[in-house]
Amino acid sequence: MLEIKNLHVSVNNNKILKGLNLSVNKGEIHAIMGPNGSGKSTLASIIAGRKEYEVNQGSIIYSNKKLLELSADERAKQGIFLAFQYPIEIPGISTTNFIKTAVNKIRESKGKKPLDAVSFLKVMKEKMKIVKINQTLLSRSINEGFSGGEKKRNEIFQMAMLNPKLAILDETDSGLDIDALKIVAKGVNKLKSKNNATIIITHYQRLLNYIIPDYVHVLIDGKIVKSGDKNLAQELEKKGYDWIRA
Amino acid sequence: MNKDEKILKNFTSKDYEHGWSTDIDVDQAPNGLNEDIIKLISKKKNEPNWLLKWRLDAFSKFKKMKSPNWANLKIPKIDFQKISYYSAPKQKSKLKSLKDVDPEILKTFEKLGISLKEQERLSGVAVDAVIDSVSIGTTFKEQLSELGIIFCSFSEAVEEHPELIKKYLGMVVPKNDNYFAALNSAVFSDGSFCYIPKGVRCPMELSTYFRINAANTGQFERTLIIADDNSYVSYLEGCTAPMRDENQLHAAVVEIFAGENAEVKYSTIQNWYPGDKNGKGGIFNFVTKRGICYGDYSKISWTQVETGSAITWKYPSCILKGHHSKGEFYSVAVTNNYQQADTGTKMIHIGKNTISKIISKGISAGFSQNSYRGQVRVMKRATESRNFSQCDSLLLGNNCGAHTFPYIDVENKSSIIEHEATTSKIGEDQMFYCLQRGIDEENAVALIVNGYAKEVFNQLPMEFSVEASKLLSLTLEGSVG
Amino acid sequence: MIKDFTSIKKNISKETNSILKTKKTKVFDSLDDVLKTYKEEYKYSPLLRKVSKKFDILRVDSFKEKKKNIDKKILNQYKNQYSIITINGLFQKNESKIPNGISVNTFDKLNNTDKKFFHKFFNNQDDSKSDIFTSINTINYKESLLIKIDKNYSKKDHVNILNFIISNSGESINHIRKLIVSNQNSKSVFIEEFISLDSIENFSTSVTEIIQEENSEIEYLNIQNDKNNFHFNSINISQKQNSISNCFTFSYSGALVRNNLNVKLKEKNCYSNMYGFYALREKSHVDNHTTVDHIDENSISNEHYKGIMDNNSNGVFNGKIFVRRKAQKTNAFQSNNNILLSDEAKINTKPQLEIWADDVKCSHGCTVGQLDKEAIFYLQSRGISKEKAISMLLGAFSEEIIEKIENQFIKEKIKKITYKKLEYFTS
Repeated sequence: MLEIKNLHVSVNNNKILKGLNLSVNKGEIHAIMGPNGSGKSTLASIIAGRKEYEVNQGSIIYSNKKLLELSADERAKQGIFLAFQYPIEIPGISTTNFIKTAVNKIRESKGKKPLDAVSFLKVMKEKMKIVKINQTLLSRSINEGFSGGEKKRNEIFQMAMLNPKLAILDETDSGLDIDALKIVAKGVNKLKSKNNATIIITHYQRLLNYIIPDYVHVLIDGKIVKSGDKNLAQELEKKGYDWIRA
Repeated sequence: MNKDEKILKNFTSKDYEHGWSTDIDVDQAPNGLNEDIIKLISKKKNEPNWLLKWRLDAFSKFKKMKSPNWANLKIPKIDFQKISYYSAPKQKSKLKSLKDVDPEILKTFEKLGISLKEQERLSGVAVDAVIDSVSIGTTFKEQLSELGIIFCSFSEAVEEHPELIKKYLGMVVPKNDNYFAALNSAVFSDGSFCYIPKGVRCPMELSTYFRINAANTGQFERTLIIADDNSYVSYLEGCTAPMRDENQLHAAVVEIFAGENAEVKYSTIQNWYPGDKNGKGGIFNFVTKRGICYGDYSKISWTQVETGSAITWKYPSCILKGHHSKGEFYSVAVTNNYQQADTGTKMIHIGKNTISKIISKGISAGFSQNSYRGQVRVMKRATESRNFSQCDSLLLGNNCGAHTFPYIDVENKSSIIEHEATTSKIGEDQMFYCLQRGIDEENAVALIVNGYAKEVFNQLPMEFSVEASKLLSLTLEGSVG
Repeated sequence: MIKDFTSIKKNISKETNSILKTKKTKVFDSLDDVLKTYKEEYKYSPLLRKVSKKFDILRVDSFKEKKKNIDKKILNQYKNQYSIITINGLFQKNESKIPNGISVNTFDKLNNTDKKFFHKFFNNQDDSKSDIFTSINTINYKESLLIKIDKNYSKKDHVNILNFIISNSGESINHIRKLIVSNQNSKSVFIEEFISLDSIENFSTSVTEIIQEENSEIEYLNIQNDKNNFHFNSINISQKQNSISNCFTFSYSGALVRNNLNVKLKEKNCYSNMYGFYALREKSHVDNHTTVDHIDENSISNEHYKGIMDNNSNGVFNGKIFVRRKAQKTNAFQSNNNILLSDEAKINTKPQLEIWADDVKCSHGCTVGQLDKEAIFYLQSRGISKEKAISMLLGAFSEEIIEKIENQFIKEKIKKITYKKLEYFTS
């Protein structure tokens, strides 16, 4: 589904990714771990199509398409979803209105008719349960005045609404207490199917107790230096990153 | 051309929706501005002698005044002699009811989305429709008069309620207040009049719809709203004009009087023809709007959504004379292509414990210049007064300008004034968030800009709020990323 | 208003340097245009009307003798410090003490190379095209100073610029003029004061042009504390790449003081800080007009003025931020906070933004209010008298500005002056 080959990326002439390779298939969960500044969030941003990054070398193939040639909204329409590490606030637009626009734009791109208000509301009610988010929160401006946990739950709620093929969770566990973490993990597990894939970017192993990854990759200094199964995450938790570097 | 430029270009080529004109037989005065024309207007309207004298006095003052040059506007020289100051659809006889209105005119308003057939009005909005210089009909008159509410054309009010006109005309905007107000005072043709008696809460929105139709005419309407003690009224104003290559002049005056504990809400959606994408044609909009919170605990609230006109010069203001009175100003001003807007408000605090609030959202695109100009003045005896102002500007593209000129003058120690202003473009992170959810750039811009203007739209009556939001999205169809 | 400019024209004819003569003639020719902006720019501070009543403002006082004595007691306050001293606008070389790396000379004493250097900058950055007082100063100054800061200069010690005014010699109108060039990589600190040595009402103008070459940094402070002075002060800074300017204006007293501070950020990556604090009593009237003009990309400007007005005093603030079309990625902030302590006091403030570039972050905020009654009560409940509580809280209000001064010696000096002044603010 996703094939990243020898990816080199820089921001303002700082090289961040230096030859990254990654292959993700349908039905898989990949965890990418690494210390601060190793390039984890850059990887998420580059897959989602943020503008300010410069690809110096390498390629990303997603569902047989050259991903780097697509704009951010085209990628979203092709089923790529990014749960942001720091979800932005947008004043004056309710989450409901926002997600409705998004759902219908994605439907439109697939030649489907927009959802009418009633069916939209029905779908929304269903998905709200998954992350235990309530109507009042969704009728407020996007993320404005939300707590850290509410913002992250809102991200997973939007993920549920958009039903992506490839979801990237960028440090979704950061700033969550244990209850919120469980809710988020439960949501992600529920949305998992044999047709979609998930990339979890995280600093700690904590979240991986609740979402069991098929693969764990260690990203250090812009490269994946070690890959393994879920046991690798536990090893990292115990020993830290230095033993790999050495 | 990169994508941003393409989208911008797309946006700037968006056409004006109400640019058509109607073929109606008109009774039009010859071009020119002189005493004879003023006498002619006054005669056509059967005005009492005092009013003619009032007009002539205004004219003599106007002749001594100069066009204001302090605004951040490039105003081409206006030849007042080339304008016709009176144009009215021809009528065979005096209208008795809306049934007598020329079907062409009814069609004109229907095309604008305003039905004058009362049975079709479900929304409960009473409308006074003004074409060029005259009012052609007012709906729901009987229902309103049962409550003692007077809602009619200005000319009718002069005939039927001369005592009210004589008492209040020019009370808030004196005839020599400024250049354009003086011109209006000399040549105003029609407009709306509204009186809400003591203790009455007007049960429906009152609305005036202005349409400039004839070529080479100016529109000089006069609106007077009087809310007696303990009354309430919400008033709406809408306007459009055909697309014409030459500029047309609109110089209106609106006066509001609020008695003790009375509340007036005045909402405008200004959608005059802004000129074409090269800046040719369009309405010059020089409007004086002012209200006085005369009684204690009275309140006047202005809400405006300004999308049209080639030039906008407009400062709806509140004189807070009554103690504990309150003035509010909510504004969204959008400029595009070569439009110029210099708009804002004045809040003059005279009474004790007076409160004012200013929320202004400017959006500039294309080659336009958009200025907020406002004054908050707290006089010495206006103790314990408060003001909060928030003036934000959004720039779409790199060929336009956003300007903020707030004057804050405080003369006592117990008042609290807070003013904030920001200027920026749409946040890149906000754009990316929308894009990542599959919303394309154009829609993302419309969404974010609408969110930005929400606080003002929320002040509009429901029906207007939807219209304003649509109008904004239309204007911003496509924009920078 | 002034109608007849003949006397000032005569002064130009006395100018012997041909380049200066041309420049002055140009300024003279645009006087009428400059007067047109007066009405809006001096809306709240009728300086022209006030000084015209008292002084023949176009006159140039002829000085009889260059040497004048200054009370040793006063000079002792500045003992062991570097100082540039002027009396009635004339440079006092013998009284001055100038550090190595900085050269100070009057125009007449410059060699030909330095004269050329002077002409390159003089009158090119000032606001003589928009302010009538700068125009008058440009034509009528008696002596102009060139202060040159060498490349890589970086003495920590500050340099005082002490402008003494002695009016009892019959000179009540003085025009002080200087050009400061801060060369590459230099770092310097100046603190300027205007001191009347007698209690006779006088009118003075001071126009300073500061040229900042690449990577230079300058801290420039201004102290105004003279209630007999009708004073016009115009500081004009022009910054090149990577330069930093930190300007401070402290005003405590003045019959009518007008400060123009104009900063042009002409090249990329400039940084400008503009700070002001005014604490006014009695009939003092202080007007701060500032302009920061972002011409090129990626610069930051940061402005914060705070003021306290008591008795019949009048504070005026007008801050303009311009961001030109080329100045993308600009960050510009401006804030003005005022406290009124009397119903007879007044504040007129006008923060102004004019922006033509879209990728910018600009904001201004402005408040007028009074001290928090709760806070006063809180201090009182701890046994502090009301008067003391007020002056403590006002001190805290001033702190935010004073804290920004980098030079420790000056910070302490300003703190002392400020707290002493604030003791009298107890209404």
